[in-house]
Amino acid sequence: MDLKITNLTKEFGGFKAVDHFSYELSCGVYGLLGVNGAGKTTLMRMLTTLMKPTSGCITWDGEDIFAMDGRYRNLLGYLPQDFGYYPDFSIYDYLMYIANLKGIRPAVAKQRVKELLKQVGLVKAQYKKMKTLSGGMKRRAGIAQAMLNDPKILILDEPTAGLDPGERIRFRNLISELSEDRIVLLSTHIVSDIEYIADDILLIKDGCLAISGTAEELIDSIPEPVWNCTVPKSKIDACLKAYKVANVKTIPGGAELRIVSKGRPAEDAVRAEPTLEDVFLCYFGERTGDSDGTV
Amino acid sequence: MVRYELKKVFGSVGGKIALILYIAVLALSCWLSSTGATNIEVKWVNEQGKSEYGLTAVQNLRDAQKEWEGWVDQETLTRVIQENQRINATPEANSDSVQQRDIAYSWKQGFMPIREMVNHSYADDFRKYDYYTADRMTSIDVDAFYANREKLLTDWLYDETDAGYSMYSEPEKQYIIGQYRQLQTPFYFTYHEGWHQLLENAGYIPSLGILILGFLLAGIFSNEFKWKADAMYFSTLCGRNKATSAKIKAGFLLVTVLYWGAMLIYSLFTLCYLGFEGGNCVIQWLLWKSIYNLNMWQAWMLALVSGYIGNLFLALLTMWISAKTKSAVFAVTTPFILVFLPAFLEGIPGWLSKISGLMPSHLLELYQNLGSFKILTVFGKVFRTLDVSIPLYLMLSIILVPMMYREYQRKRA
Repeated sequence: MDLKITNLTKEFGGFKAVDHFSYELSCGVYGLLGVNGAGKTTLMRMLTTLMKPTSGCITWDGEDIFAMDGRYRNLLGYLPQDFGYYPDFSIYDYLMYIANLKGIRPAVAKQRVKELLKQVGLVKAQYKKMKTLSGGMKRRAGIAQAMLNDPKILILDEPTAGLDPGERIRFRNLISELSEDRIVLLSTHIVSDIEYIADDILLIKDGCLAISGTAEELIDSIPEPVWNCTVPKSKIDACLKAYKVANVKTIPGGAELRIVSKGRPAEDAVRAEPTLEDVFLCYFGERTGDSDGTV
Repeated sequence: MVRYELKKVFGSVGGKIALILYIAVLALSCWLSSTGATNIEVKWVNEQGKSEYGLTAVQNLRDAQKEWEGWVDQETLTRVIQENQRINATPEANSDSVQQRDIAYSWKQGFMPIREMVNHSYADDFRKYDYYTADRMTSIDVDAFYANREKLLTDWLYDETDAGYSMYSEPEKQYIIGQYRQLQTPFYFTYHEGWHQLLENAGYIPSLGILILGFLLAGIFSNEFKWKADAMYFSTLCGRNKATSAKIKAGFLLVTVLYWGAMLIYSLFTLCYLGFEGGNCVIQWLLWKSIYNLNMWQAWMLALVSGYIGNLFLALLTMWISAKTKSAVFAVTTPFILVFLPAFLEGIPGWLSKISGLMPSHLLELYQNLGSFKILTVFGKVFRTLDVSIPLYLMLSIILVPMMYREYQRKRA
């Protein structure tokens, strides 16, 4: 069970969305971490054969996935970022239809749908129309469809986007449960989504693989130390401009800052234990702050 | 998989409304062919000169016309002229009272279609019609009665002052005359109102129906993109093969079942209501000038087939545009344009007008087509447009199937 990405490049009119990306995935959970526009979705679309690379190749056990065609897609479970559904289908109909698309025999599909509905906690809602479901329920239906064919490769593109914290935790646990004996590639720009469940984390920046390893390895290899310091109110703006600031906590008369910096940012600054968020900040710098303000 | 595709189509409110509209078109057609529009409905004028409608009227008209059933030969024509003269001489026919004149009319209803034919045959000009021509005749010759049809046509085609002169080339003129000559005479007459109404109102279901079908089918491919289900759809095992075939099958099934279902109900309703008799009468009883030498049931079979091929082609074209453009809006406008464009093109003189005869909309309105002189010369050979357009659109429909399959199969999300 080996999914190998070699020198993968995808260009859109001269712009390289994915740039000579190489990596080898075997059984386990992989977190693909990067800011919006880093190339995560493009990479995933190539891995799902939805998009052909400009150069480079992807192989499954040594065989080109595009040449494998249906045989490869039969191994695949995919939850896209913009997860679409058929609004007038019930969850049950939707899953049965996807089972059909995946070439699963109806008798087997019925059993599989029943199991997955239970696993994702949608048994009671199974006859509700998809358009009436909450965001979390839709995502759970989405993961259920991806799991219908018991895929060897499960690709989840930003599966927690738009979910509230409770749903996000529930979803994370669900993915962890489903990760046995398969490759799970999970893309996100939210560090906490993968910090505890990913065996390996791949940091993707401007289409290139910036660094990869376990959470501990990435934390240990952080190139800049992390500092905690207290600064007066008048210096907060200057610090925000000068350093990579992971956290700002306002206190009376000033703020406690968490800074990633090679040099000591302030007299009273003390070294702090780095976290994966700090690693993320270190590599992506000021671009970390995304639309929903989450790091 | 086809079941789920149909569920996608009819699952939405729009789909359900479209289905209700389709049924409404069927109901409209049935209504028009039975008791609907006052200008074409089957009417019986009773002995008091009052108009009657409905099943009794149909039965009375049938009984009256059955008395004149048979070959329209010298004897029948003479009887018609004599009976017409006799009625015209009655005080009722010459009365100033409309009701009295209607009473006189009621006595003519049995042979009225034959009388109409006499009016056509003995017209002064190919394009003229005078209701009172038969009333002026005191005797008739069966040979002239049938020969007049060709004579009036020839005059129209070869008279330099007439429009027909410049409208057709010499081979085309000879072809039209040849079609007239091939029509077998004498005609057989019997009550045929069922087939008349059936043919006359046959265009509503194919013409209005395809607009509704277009609405249903326009999203069959493009909705995957609209609903953002495309990425997941194409990443599955069957998304680019069996599922695409299922979409095509669903579209084919939808147009076939709805069309044939509606036409079958319409045919049975009309013929059960107005009668099955008269299927073996030639369509010239309805369309005196027609260049199609068919009897009523043959014309109806042709109407069914041509309407189906027209619907099938427009439906498949709509689906292909849906697959090609990923847009239901573009797709849904296709049948609208193709159904209404010929009406615009026909107003333009020259080759555009001739080409308009080949538009698929003409397959939907077969009755009008049977009565027109739409012909084409292809590589020196003259054809009626229907002879070309039926195989042409059948062929194009067949070609569209692999085209849309390949188009959608290759789509990347």
